[in-house]
This record gives sequence, C-alpha cells and structure tokens, in this order.
Amino acid sequence: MEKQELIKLFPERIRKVMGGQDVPYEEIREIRFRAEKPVAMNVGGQERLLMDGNRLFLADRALLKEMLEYMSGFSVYAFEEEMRQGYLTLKGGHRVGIAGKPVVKDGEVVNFHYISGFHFRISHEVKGAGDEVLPYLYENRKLCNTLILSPPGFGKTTLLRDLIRRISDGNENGAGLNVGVVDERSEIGGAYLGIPQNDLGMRTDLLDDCPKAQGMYMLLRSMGPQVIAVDELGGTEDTEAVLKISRCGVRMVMTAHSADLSELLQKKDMECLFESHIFERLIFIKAPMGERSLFEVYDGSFGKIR
Amino acid sequence: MGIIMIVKLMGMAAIMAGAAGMGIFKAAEFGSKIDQLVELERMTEYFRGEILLHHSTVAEASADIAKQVAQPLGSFLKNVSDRINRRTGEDLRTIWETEGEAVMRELSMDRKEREEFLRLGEKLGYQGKDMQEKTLNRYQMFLARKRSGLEDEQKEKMKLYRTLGVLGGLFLILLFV
Repeated sequence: MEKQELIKLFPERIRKVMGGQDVPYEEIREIRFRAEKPVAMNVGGQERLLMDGNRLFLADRALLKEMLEYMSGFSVYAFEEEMRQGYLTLKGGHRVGIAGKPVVKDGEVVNFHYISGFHFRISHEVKGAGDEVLPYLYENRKLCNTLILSPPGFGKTTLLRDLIRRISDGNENGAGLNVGVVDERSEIGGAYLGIPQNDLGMRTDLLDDCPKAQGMYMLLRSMGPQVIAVDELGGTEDTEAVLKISRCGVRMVMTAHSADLSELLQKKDMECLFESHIFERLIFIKAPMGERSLFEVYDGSFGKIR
Repeated sequence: MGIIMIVKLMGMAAIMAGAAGMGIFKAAEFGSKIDQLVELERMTEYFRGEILLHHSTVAEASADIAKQVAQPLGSFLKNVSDRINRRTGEDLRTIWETEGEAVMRELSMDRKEREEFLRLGEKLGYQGKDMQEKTLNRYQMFLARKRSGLEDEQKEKMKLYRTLGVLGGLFLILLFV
C-alpha cells in the first residue's frame, strides 16, 4: 500500500506522525494502537514502533475515539453490525479489529462503551497468487471442487481471492464462470459498505458479512451460481450446507484450517465431506505466501498430484 | 365631478394601495423565512430516513439529500459529502461549519439558529443510532418551534402591517387633501 493511501486512513492529528516514519510503507502489514501505549507496526514481519521525532508516539484515548469516528466516515451507527463482530472494514478492504469494553445487551455485544485499541490489518491483494496452482483446479476444462488448506497466516484467503478472480474472469484452463462468494468476515472481498474493494472478477456476486451456511443457500436460491466460494469452512452447519449444494451441481472452492492430510482427516465435522468424495482437489499451502510459495496438491482419493 | 377630484381620488387610491402593499411585502418576508425553515425540516426528515432506516453514512445521506432539497442546502450537502469522501483528515464539525457558512449567511440565520445548525453538524454521525435519533429529534423540534412561533407572529404582524398600511395611507391622504 502506498504511503499516501495509508495516511488517508487516519485523522489529521496523526497524519504527520504516520507520514514521517522511516519505513517502507508498502511493507506495512499491521498497525496496533493501544491506549496510552506505543503504536506498533508490523513492517515486513518486523515490529517497528511509531516515532514522533525522537520520541515514541503514544496513542491516547481521545485519539482512539477520534479515529473511530474518522474511520467510520463520521457514521459509527452504519457500522454497528460489523462492530458487534469486533471489527470495521475500511475503504480499500483493510480490516480494523476493535478492543475495549463492549456494551452487552441480552447476552450479545451491541456496541463499545470504551475503545482501548485498534488492530489494523492492511489488505494485500496479490494478483497472480494463484497462478501456480490454477491448472491443477481443472480437469478436461472443468473446474474441480477444491479445498485449500493451511495453518493460519499462510495466505489461504489471499490464494482463494485470486482464484475466485481467475475463475470468474475465465483463464487458459476454463471459461469464465458465475461465482457466488459468501464472505462472512469481509476478508475475501474487503467490502466497504457492501461494495467489494478487492477485484473478485467480472462474474462474481458477493454476499458480505453473512453467515456461511445461510449465505450458500441464499446464493443458490437467488443468484444461480456455477461456483460457490467460502473461506474457513468449519462446523457441522457449514459441512451440511456443502453436502446439499454439491448435489445441485454447483462447483465449490473453499478453504479450511489444516496443516496436512493427517490433521485434516482427524476433523470430525469434515468426515462426511471426504466420505462422500465431495472435494476433487486438496491444496495444502506449506509455507507462508511470499517470495517462495510451496504447494502440495492431492486428488479426491488423497493421491498426491504435486 | 371635476377632473381635479378624479385625480385626487386616483392619488388616494394609489397611496392606499402602496401603503397596503408595504404591509403585504413585510408579511411576505415572514413567509419566505417560514419556507426556509420548512426546507431545513425536510432536510432533517430525509436524514432521519437515510440514517435510521437505510443506515447510510453521513456522506452517502448528504449526497442523496442534496438532490432533493432546494438551494443553498443542496450545494452545501453535496460539498459536505465530497469533502468527507476526499478523506482530508478533517473532522465533520470543521467540514460542516466551513461549508455551512454560506448557508447560514444566505438564510439569514439568527444566533440561535446558527447554534442549532452547527450543533447538528457536531453531533451528526457521532455514536450509535439512538444518539442520531436524539440529535435529529432535537433539531427538528427546534425548527418546528421556530416555525410555529413565526407562523403565529406572521398572522399577528400581517394584520398589524395591513392595518398600519391602511392607516398610514389614510393619514397621508388627510395630510395631502
């Protein structure tokens, strides 16, 4: 992300400080603001503290409040639903986690009394992230039901996002398809007020901030998708939905947490999917996405293809 | 009846009409102020719908409402929306105040009207929906009270201006005749 774009995420009071750091701005992945504490940035995997000249910059409570108002476009009420989940999605698809004292009503978080911290996750859309695995997703120019797997932080969502775009637009392995995406946590599309900020392709319909299982049924009923894509499959409700959808002839590209095949086969809620041989391709990301990507690809019978 | 008498009668009629017209003109000034308040009430009502029902952001709501209200409110709201979207780092209070200066001047707002108009910009978008509702209710009630007061005043003053106009006209006639 370019420096000027990053600075635009912040109110006037902090812009000068944010803009005066001696760091490669395009490598900033995360920024953590905590009340009365130094601001920490993750720059290319290294922690760097925000400096105001020679002194550490501390985030005071008034700044956190000002930031919330500014980030929401002075419309905190419009983000109440997201705030209940503990985050905001900003223009550009960046996600801001919120810490503080939640207001709980009838056992559910409805808002925040006090804000004590923000965790900015800078959206990194990596076009081309899926180039290497894309040919393995097709057989005789037909898209295979695919499950992408890795431990957290290895780039499943980044890979899924790029594959959605390529499948939707069409590529050398197959024609473009209508893709329906259920984006429960606004991480795939990075939608800001319902509009995807990341490129998900020309034939993609997005259900943003919607429970996965419910969203899959909704898409099936209303949008006639040829492919359904969801992130972080898990729980019996999700797997039951996948089973039902698979019977409707819709192709699926999904992700789940799992480091390897043995860990995957121990997941009880996924058992029914493998017994029914729903997935024809399993793609394991073996190292965090970066300079060097490392994939393992299996077919539906767990035979290693690559 | 001689020509002189006819000219006198015509003069009397002209003085009477002019004096009464002055009264009507003063009364019309009230009407214009009331229309401005009605327009501000409409703007507030639109904000209520956009914010409370559609959950639109202040920028989205302002852009939509700008197309539905009369000038100078339309330009004001469009400018507010544009400045929020430009993400200049300014807070809404500053944007509302600087863009609102022309509106407050053109609508000849008095001190209290200015205070309430600026207060709307200061509180709009702040905190949750309940707070939005309270802010909009407060401004709407202020406008309704102001309008109602002016309407009552208009009725009284219209009578007064008309009567003063007619009496003033008669006085001038007596003076000249």
